[in-house]
Amino acid sequence: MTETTAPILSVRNLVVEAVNASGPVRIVDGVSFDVHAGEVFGIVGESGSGKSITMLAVMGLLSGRTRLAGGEVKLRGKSLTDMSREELRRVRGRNVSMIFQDPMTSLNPVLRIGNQIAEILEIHQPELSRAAVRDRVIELLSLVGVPSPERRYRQYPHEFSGGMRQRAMIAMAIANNPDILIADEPTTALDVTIQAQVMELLLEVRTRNRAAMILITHDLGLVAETVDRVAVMYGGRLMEEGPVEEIFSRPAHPYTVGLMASRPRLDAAPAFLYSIPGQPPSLANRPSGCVFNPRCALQNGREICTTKLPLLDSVSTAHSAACHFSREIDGWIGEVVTADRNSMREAP
Amino acid sequence: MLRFLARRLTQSVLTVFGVLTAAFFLVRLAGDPSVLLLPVEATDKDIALLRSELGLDQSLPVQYGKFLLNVLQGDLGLSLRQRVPALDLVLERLPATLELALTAFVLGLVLAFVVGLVMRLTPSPRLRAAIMWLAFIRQAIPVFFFGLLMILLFSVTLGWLPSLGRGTIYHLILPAVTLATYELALYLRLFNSALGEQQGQDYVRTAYAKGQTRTRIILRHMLPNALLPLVTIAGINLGMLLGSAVVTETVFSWPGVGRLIVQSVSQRDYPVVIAGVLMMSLVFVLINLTVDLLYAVLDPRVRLS
Repeated sequence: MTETTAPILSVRNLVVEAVNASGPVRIVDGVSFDVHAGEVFGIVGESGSGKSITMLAVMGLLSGRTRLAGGEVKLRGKSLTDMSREELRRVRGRNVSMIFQDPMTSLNPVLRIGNQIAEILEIHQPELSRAAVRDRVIELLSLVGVPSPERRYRQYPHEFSGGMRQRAMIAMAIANNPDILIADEPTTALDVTIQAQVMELLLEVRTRNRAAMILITHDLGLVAETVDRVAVMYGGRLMEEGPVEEIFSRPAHPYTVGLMASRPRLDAAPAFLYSIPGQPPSLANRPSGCVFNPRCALQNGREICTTKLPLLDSVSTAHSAACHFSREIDGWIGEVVTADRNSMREAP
Repeated sequence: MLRFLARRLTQSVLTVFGVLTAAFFLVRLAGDPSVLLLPVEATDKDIALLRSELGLDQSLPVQYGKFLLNVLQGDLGLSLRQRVPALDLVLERLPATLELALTAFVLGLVLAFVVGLVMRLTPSPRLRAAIMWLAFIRQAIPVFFFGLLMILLFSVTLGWLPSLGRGTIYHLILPAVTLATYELALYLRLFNSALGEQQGQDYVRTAYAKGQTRTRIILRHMLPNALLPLVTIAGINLGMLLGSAVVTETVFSWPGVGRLIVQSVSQRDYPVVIAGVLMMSLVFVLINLTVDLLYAVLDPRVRLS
């Protein structure tokens, strides 16, 4: 994908703990991945799988009851996890930017939009004059497709629609030409009609700035369209990781298979929607062995799944999965699909 | 904005009318003043004469109607005791009350703002807990009792400050501090929790993600948002402060409207009581209007609606 082989962002064995009344609970457990220059890396998983927390840990933004309990994050070879608070602060907003899920609450309601975008320039480029900052903000606003930016500059967030606010957030995120953009479900809170526009814009500005991007989402359709490589998270662990075409065509983890089967499809009866049986795990009482084993149909009562933690292991060159029985998947997918069809017949 | 103002003004007029009505009927429940006004040896005929002179022999609705007509013409009647216009008596005392109440209010609010902000900027959980406990304890002590404790310590035991009357700045210190510490405790607790509430907001996380420093996030982002509830409560409370001032004025013999009202009630000097209550309610209504306008300045969302 790129000429440079060294990754822009490298995460190794990241562990995040949440402290609650009964002691620390691992909510992110040994997550590792690399993001290369210019690529879009997707992280998918259901709510509570630890996607967002992983990203907050990368940004050094864990707060309150969560803390980094292990692992390393490197940006262009420099360790972010070893940095002082002050050094890390200088990286945030300059080298790494983040776009959050809800543009309604992510902007300060009492400050003008223009000033909120200007702020990120003032922090990291204090040498810029007031006029230069202002010009740059107006340029950014028009770049992200906000009409009449001079007038919009002086407006407050409540005078912006949801889509426009997210555009303003994107303008803010790309203001300092960061190496990497982290977008945490950037379109989830928006109207469906606006979602596509905002996503298109995000990809466009990313290409223009030659930034890498991490896209966190639970929208598999979005992943298929926009992402180069994808990681699947479940219960705070990575289940599978690889090029997006491979994950979609040859998933190597039973959870991924279930996730794919759960998509609403245009070619199937809309009355039936497959869902993975069972509930997401309680992380305070993490299942022993593989975290997915209580819900796994491939396990078939085999002991190793409840005793031994499966590690990410390569399935092909760039594709790896954390399952003891990845090699059985090919034959097994048929069973899920059959079960799928059978239930469909039962549906009215 | 104009429509908003017009609506608030109408509400204010109705409020004042309500206060007048309540005051009129309440003072009449206190008893007949003519008995207290005349010497003990006065005959029934003397009493009847005085009653008709004061209009007390007429039915209550008639009295009320006459009263309203007079008020509309700006006439609140003569003091029954001193035979001078009741309004003049009140206006004469008003500066003293405003001096005390405003000093306490400004002192309490400014101190709460400074202490609350410093507490947030220098995060020592122990220091914060200690200050909040002090505030809690102060808030639990009634104003009159705290006032007596102040007199006991600073006037009686130490002899540093005068305990009664008004005149020099030294006379102001004890009553103002008594009231101000109460205000301080209230506002500090409120301001502290308002700031704490902002801390978990998404826009604060955005500001951190931008690389902004903690100090500037508190000052630039959290502070303006935390001021909104403070202004609201401060406005409502400034009115209540006038009520507390009545007690404080009595404890410290401060010659203000509050003390005048209390004295007049015991003398059944109705016109003065009503004039005093009217004055207090006018001040209260005026403060509330100001707060509403201030709110619109602070919060851009209010400006539009």
